[in-house]
Amino acid sequence: MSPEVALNRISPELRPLLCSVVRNGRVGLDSTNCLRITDLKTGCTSLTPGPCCDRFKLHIPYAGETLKWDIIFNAQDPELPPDFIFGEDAEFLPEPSELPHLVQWDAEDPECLLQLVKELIQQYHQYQCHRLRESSRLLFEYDSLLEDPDYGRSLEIYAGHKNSWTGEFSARFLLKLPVDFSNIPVYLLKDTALDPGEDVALLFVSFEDAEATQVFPKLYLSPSIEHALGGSSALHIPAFPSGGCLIDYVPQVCQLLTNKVQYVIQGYHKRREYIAAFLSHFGMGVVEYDAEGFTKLTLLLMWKDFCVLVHVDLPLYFPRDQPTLTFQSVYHFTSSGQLYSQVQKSYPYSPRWDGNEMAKRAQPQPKIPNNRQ
Amino acid sequence: MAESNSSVRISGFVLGSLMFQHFNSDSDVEGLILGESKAEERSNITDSQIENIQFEHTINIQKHISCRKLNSFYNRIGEVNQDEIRHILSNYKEENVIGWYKQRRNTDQQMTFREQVVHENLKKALSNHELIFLLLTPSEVTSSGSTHKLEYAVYRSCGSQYRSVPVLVSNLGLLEQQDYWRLSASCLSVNYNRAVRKHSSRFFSSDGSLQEVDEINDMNNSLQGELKMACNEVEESERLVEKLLADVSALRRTVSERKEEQRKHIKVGDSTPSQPQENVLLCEAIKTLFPGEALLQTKALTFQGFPMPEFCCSTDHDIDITTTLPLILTHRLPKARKARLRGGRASWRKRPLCESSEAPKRRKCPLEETEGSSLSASGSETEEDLITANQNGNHVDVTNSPVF
Repeated sequence: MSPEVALNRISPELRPLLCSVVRNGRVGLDSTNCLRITDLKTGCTSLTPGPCCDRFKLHIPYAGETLKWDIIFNAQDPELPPDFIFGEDAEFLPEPSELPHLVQWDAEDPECLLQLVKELIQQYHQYQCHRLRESSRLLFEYDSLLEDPDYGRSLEIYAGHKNSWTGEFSARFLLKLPVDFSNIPVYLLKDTALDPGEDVALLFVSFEDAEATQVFPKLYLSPSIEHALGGSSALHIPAFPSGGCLIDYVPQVCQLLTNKVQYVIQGYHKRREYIAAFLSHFGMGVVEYDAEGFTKLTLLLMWKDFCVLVHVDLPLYFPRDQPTLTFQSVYHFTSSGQLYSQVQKSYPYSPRWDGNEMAKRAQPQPKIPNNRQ
Repeated sequence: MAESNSSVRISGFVLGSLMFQHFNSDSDVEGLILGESKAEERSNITDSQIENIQFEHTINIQKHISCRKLNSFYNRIGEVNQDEIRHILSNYKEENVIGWYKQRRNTDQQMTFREQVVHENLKKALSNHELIFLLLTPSEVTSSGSTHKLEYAVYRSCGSQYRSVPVLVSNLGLLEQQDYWRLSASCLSVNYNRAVRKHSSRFFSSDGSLQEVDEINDMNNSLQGELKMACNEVEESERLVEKLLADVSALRRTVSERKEEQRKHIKVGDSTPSQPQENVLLCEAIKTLFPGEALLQTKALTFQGFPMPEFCCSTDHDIDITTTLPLILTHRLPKARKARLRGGRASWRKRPLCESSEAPKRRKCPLEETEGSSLSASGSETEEDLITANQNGNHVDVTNSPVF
């Protein structure tokens, strides 16, 4: 159900409250997933003319799970605060006096419901952390992460229920990795129409047993970061070491990601430097170049009255990977109707040179066949 | 071994009234529930001799009081307002409040966050830890609205959790009632209680028990006393019988010992065969009563049954009749009767059998007709018949035989 459809069915007096929830509703670490509303129902009789829905299910992403809470209003008494049913967490009973937006409920404030949900999530987090006490091993993992200010502030925990068959207790940890993505070029947005949200990297670790013998980590990146790093297959995190603990493993993943980001940033700068050097050397012969990503450059060169187009393609992991020079004729076609072209990779190159040196040493020269000289 | 069972009973009227109230409301409704709670302890004795104690706690929902609006007796964070509760109850007492209810349309059958908070606060405010919460959740089953369903359940807190208690709807007849009623039906109606109080003295004693039961118990006690007395009497008679049997056995042993001694004595000194013992008293009696009657004095009969006068006893047994048999002398036959006996001899004959039916009547008054009455012939042979029959062969005269 799209947010607009949901809003149209809600009672008019309650619509402003839900507007901020479905449009701006991002709670928790996973800001890429918005809050969703489903199962809209009404507390009025069927004879009441619509729209009069005043109760619904709110889907909240939390620690890799999705909480489904029932929120119950009364369309005939819209000034009253809502009531909640916390789904399968029947034992979760927050302290009402510690919910400021419930104590000071203001039906006229459109943000009141969203703020109240955030306060409930905070108490829910405390409740889940308390449930970790069933496993001393997992409690140790949590306490050790909590002591580190880099990880303790951005941590969500979901302590699962004991499996009635195996008796095993499981838990989910979701950490926001403290990696700086601000220097990643903005041009890597996949779809400019969509707001990708905050650039974030989340490490999701699933403990399938209380003794941490079956641990499965997973890295989630926001779409722009994933694209900037070369897709979902570009970065592989190491497996969780047997007998290891999160306080050692998380910094390792952080460092790996940081290195990758630095490498991508440096590659961007290197590409820009390379293109700039070619522009300064072959400025009069520049046809076009990628002014955002600096991944492509096309030159029109003349050699002995022979004009040739030179396409320079810079790979993603430049300067580690050598750029490709493609010579393209302006006179001749192949049998398939394409302009005759020739790829050349064997030219002087070293990733340790700077851009000027690379441009100087490259000196793109076509290898013209004997019958055409 | 103790088991605890709890159940909630609600009459069909109250449940119907709750449904009616909500169906006519355009929002959720809530209110207070009045009733009473009863606890009963039952002890079942089985063949295994293990005592099985069952505690049955029954909560009767008798009435509901609806609140005019939601959140009327509690605030946003579930704090209860006791003044408002008293205002809602008006004439009813707080002690009658056994719980509260909520009717929520199109929601799950599960207590909400605020309901749990309010329930805990209400328990403290009313000082009732057995407080119940009745939740009714009507919902549409079909999208067209043609079918609706109503789910209802009663919840009671058990520590930090809430458990559902079975709800029984008491309609006109309880089909599950298999055994006797142990408790009377509860009713909060003032009129009902007034009527019962007016007539209760006729049926109940001062301690609340049924009068008939007391009377039957008294009668039972009396019966038990009579039975006890009869048992004592039987016991005494049995003991007497036992004693007599012991005496009889002793006497028999004595008799058998004497016989044995006599037998031994006879074997040793006496070679003649033993003669049958003569009843000397009888012999003397007959001689006294019927002197000269050889037929009566004989000790032998023919094969046809006729006495043989040749075997009369002529021995003088030297017995003084006046001292040993004094009563014999009072029964001697008078002279007038002897004369009649001599005169009517020829007409005496054995009457036919058709007259035998009159024999019992005649025999009934022989004592009355002893003086001066004639002997009447009957169906059985009398001594006169014998005399008449034997005269043909023996020629015996009628003697002065007494007539009994």
